[in-house]
Amino acid sequence: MALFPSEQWTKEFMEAVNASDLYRDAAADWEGDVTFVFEAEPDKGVNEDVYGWFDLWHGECRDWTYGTDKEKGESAKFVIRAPYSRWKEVIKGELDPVKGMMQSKIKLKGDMPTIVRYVKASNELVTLASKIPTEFADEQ
Amino acid sequence: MVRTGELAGLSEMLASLIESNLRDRLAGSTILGGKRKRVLITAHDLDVHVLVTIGESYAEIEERFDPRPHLWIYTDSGTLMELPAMQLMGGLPDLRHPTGRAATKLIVSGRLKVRGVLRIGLLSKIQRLLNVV
Repeated sequence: MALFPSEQWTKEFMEAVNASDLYRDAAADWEGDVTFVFEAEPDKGVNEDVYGWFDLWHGECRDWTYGTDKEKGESAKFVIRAPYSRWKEVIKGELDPVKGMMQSKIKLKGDMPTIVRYVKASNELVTLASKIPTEFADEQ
Repeated sequence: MVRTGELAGLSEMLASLIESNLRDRLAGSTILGGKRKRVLITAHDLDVHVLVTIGESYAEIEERFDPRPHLWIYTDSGTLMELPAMQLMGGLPDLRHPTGRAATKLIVSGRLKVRGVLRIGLLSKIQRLLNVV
């Protein structure tokens, strides 16, 4: 079981993404790197902001880094950020990420029309994340 | 494009879509012409109302309820995000395309309610302002 957030969890997530035909179809034209920022919640075992950077290109992940430095992370075409516990809700399927953005629970920096155009791909990413056997930082 | 009051979440998302379309795809079009009309967009599951006013030379967006809009789109947040991704023809859902036909299903199922639907010109304008396809 992989700990979230961690490099091992991110690796398993990207392997699942690259094995998904549904994601490949839904994001077939997607071009642009994405950074997920897992914001610190020290009382839940996440002591500092963690940046995960993903080079997503035409339905696959070409490269990724975990624990990316802030400067590189913030320079991605899309930066999606939320406190750790919000990400936990997303991974557990309790919070739809687009709905989370509508409620200001998740923040997006990047071109909104592109995000709306790829809602299906976003949903598939969440489905894939929810299938990874996960141990959460605050449940260790 | 005018933002009035504090926008966040859904209202900011809709403002970004309209702003982007006015800047890029609809630049130079006459979409903002005509008399001032108000379109209310409600996401009932979030209890959020977004009012879009389309004026002669501007679009204004604010997060508030309007009791007498010219057009009222009432739906849940998930359905609301499907609307910009619909293929349009003449500003209305293209029934030759699956995403366009989906609009009919949403209305028949009651997931999407549109009051003032006979104001075809205004419906076409708001669809084009929000569309991302």
